[in-house]
Amino acid sequence: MMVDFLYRPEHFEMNAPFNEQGERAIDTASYLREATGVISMERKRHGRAKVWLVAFILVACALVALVVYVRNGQRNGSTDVTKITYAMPVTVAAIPAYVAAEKGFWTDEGLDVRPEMFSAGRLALDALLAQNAEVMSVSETPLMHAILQGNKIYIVATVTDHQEVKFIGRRDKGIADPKDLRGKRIATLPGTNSDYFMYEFLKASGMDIGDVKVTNLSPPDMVTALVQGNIDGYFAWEPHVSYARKQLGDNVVVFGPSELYHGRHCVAMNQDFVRAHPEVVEKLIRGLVRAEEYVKAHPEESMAIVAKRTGMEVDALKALWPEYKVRVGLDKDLTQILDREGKWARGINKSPEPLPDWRQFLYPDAIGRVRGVPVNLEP
Amino acid sequence: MINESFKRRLFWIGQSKIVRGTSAFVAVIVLWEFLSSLRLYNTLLFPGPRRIAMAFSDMFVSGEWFGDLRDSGVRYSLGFVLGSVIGVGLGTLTGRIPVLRDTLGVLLNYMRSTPSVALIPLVIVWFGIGEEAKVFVVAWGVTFPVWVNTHSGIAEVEKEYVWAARSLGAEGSDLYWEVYLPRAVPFVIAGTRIAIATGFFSLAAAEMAGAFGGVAFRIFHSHQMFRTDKMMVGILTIGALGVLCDRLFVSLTGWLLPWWRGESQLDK
Repeated sequence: MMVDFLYRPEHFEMNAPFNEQGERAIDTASYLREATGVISMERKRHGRAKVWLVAFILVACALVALVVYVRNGQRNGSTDVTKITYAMPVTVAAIPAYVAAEKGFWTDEGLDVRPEMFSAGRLALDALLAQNAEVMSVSETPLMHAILQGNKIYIVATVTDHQEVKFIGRRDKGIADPKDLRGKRIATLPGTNSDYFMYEFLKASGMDIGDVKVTNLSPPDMVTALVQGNIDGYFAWEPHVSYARKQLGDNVVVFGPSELYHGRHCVAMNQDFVRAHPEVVEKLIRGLVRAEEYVKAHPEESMAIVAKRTGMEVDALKALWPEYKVRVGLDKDLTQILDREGKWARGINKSPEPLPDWRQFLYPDAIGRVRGVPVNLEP
Repeated sequence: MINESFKRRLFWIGQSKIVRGTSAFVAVIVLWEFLSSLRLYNTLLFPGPRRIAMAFSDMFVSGEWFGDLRDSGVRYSLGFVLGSVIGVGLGTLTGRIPVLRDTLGVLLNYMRSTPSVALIPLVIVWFGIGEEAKVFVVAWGVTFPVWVNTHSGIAEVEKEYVWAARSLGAEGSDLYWEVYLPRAVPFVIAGTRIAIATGFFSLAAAEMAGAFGGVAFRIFHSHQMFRTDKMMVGILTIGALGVLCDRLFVSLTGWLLPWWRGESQLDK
């Protein structure tokens, strides 16, 4: 039965030599030898398939075990909590974080903080959420998106108040007033605070997103595109606005955020970590508070530190410095900012879901202990 | 007790190309869904197949997916055709003319190491942020694999073939159409298949700057907005498009060149 199934005699017959009568001469002994060989080969093939299947199952099990092991290790806090990674974006707003790292204020608190630089705050946030970093800082907008999508994070402090997002447009393209943006080609980086500002700016000017031609560009590309005349203007944050202004001189018009946008550079951590290690949060904030004092007492040295981290020229930084107010704290204004931006995000995603209670994502205990004054987040 | 005929049927199902081809995908999806359902990792950063399927369904119904597919499809098609034509043309020139091989060939070899994504700031300067810029970036990614392979194919044409053709009176363009090009076809096909994939790498780079639609734009945009489910739909769509284009190309070459037997084991 199996011989018939796996080994077909006609194959053997076809290859058999001709005898003198011109017929195929089948040698029964050879036939059996060959048939046995083929069956053995088939069995080997089946055996190999089984080995592969078992190997696949073993690898899958090993993968699951590895994930469980790593996760348990993280949950139990088996790693040395005094050694932590701080995911830092390249931005002027991160002034106290740069200063605390550079001046060793966290080392004085007994923490071994390893700064990891990221080109964008959104990527630094990925590092935090993937538990590759214990702490990170970014402006409030990416954190708001992360919270709306269900991520369990705490904002443990804000370190800088700023209004760094702006619009810059070319005068020779007919932009002199906010209303002139109608029909113009405008660049933005979706999901950022400058994107939020764009929507608010257009609304305040009696327009909506359909009234402008929006394109997506990274801030450095926006500068090039504006200088080249490929776009008429863009919404971005500093230093990308001042870079274009430097190149285009009087041919640009800049609209600041005025009352439409107030930003905060926030320090964020995973909720599990904060609950497990509140003392680490307190030490981190102590380091940041010392950095705040240092920045106020030594602005020139602080500028040099920020210039080193961001790659900006000190002169350019000096011009922008007054726009950043270093203040380590946590207040109810942040909940209002998050609420406004949350409504915007829900609107553009056409999501009917209600907004969360933002206070559940703020951790005021550590800053309260460090400052010696309880933080009031009640509306 | 499983009877013999059932065993045989199972055996032949196992031998089926479709079953074998999809088995790895199915196994990965099942394992992935299993791991995500256990919540052993942050599923908001890397959602499971079920959530991705729901996001796809939303994008499909709203027309967002089709819009992205259309935008990317136009950019890719134009860039691919342009890059392939340029690649074959340049490969023919550098493969046949020693002076060009030693001059232009060296320059092209230098240029082909430059990844498309590194060119974006320059492309904005050269072409702006319109569709032509994106088509150029895709064409850049396609040109070089096609060029290298066409060059090799043309350069390796045996002299005996050329002598034989010449002795029969073939000259100039006849030689190209009757000897060089047919002999180089296997190389051109191999280069074009590589270019199908490199074209998609370039499309991703092109749509991450200056676009407001397209599959790669959606990946970038969804990442910014923390919609990792939609981001995964974009990633999987690009992968599927790559496979689809490759299969279409293989079928097309099989239809146009029925004598062509150069396909690899992966195609069988």
